[in-house]
Amino acid sequence: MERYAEALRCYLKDQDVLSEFEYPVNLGKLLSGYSGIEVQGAGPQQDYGIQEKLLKVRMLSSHLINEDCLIFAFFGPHRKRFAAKIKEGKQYVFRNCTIVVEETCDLSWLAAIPMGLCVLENCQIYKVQDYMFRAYHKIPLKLEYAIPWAVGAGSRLVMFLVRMGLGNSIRAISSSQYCWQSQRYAMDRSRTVAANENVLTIQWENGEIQTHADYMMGNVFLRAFLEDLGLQPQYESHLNLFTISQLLKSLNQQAIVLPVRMELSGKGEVQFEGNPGTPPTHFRVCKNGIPQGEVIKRSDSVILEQE
Amino acid sequence: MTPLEAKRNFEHDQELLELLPYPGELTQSVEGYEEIVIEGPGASSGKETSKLLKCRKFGSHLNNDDCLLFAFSDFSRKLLYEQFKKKNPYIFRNCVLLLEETSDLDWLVAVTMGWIQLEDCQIYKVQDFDFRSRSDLPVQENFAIPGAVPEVSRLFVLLLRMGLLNRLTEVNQMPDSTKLEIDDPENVSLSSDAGFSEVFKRSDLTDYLILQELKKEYASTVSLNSSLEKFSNSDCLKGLGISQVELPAKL
Repeated sequence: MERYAEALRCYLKDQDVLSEFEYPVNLGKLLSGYSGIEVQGAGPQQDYGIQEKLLKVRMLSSHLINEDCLIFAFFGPHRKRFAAKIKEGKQYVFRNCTIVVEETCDLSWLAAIPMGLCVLENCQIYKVQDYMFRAYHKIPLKLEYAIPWAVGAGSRLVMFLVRMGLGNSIRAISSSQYCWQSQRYAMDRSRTVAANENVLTIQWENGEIQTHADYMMGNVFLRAFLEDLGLQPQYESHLNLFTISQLLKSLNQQAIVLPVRMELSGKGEVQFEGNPGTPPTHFRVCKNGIPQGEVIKRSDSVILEQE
Repeated sequence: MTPLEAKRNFEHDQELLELLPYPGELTQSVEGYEEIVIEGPGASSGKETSKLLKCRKFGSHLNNDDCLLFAFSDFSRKLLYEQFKKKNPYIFRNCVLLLEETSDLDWLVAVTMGWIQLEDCQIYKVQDFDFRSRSDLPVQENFAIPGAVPEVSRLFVLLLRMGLLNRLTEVNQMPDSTKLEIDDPENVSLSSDAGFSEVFKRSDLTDYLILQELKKEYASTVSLNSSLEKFSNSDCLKGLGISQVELPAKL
């Protein structure tokens, strides 16, 4: 609930800036000259040996040097990350990038530019709607520009691309399982774990893997999500050694909920039903503000892999 | 600004504040200026020479050339955006900006967005004396500006703190009383023995009285120009319903 309140604060605070940005109409044109897309989560990238020229899609502050990238900026401590790099004598650079900001992303990172905390050259900035935030606060939304939430940064980028009609162009995903945190636990077992970090150890026949619970959840989500959409990009993770069911068991979770088809490919407006101030459980598509057709339950798309 | 907002701004903007220097010897930054005038909102000294430094509150005037600007408390980037939308953007040229650590630095977004012109300006930070005292944070007196009641007297205190009071020749306070409504509790109707009657903001009256006290306390020869001059101090005190104003402890 705290996250919804923070999202509302950012959304209201940044209305002036948001009103200056357009919604993206055709991001597909960015693919001209590329044979597909590589979604790059945080951390070292996997070399899949793909020879084609791929458009890199990233989150705002996941990589230091960003040239010719499509960037999706959503919730995250972006300005703090920019400042941390400056202290190390490094600087975030964005050149010839298309940056799409989610309306609930704190835009105070834009104040970092005149202070020299990052370089922004020849970039286009667009905005998109935050699906779950609007649903929670019962704010009307346009499905064409509304991105549903997902678990983990990598899967959020995939969700964004699917919503923008670019899902079928994804050729490779190098996502959060390679990020610095899981690397840190793999390499430095002696490190003290902070009380708020939920690090789990999973046993398997050749040993054990330590990772954050949210990365496990991210892996489960991404695998189920890709399967549900029938997408087969290059995507490898040490967590792929385990079945979705095994991971869910370690996480003490019964099931995960994927976005329904309407959230991913529908057009037009949506009206939410359910209790005000709670995450949406039902919605209906509207035409000129009038609800049409049947009530759609979000829980219709629960995925649970059985043994 | 509430103490909570001050705390939020201070914590939120730490990474930006860390990059800004304290003004140090501010006298060096304003070396070429022989004279300083304070211009409150809507006020102008009418003088224009290259040797004159205008001391203003950030956001109180649209065109700012050769100014010493103090950004504190209630400034919002919304003002910058509104003016940009009216195709009449704020301009800051050859200015020295002093940002109080508890002011909201989100206005810097306006620079990135192209809503304002910021040319050849030096930016420094200063400490918020009252906030630091309240929060038990260490204070460096050279850079800590005590809270004075609003606007113009705050600028006087800033110059005093920065060691520039000896160059101050004029203080101009011209509160706009034209659109004020008497039934607003923030406003006061003032009547003089000479038969004048006007509505003013309470805060402007307090500001005026404090300026006079400051002038007296620091034996300043500054010329104090105010649209409140036609009222006596006792008219103002009566309007506010108080018997006297008190200055903060030794500034």
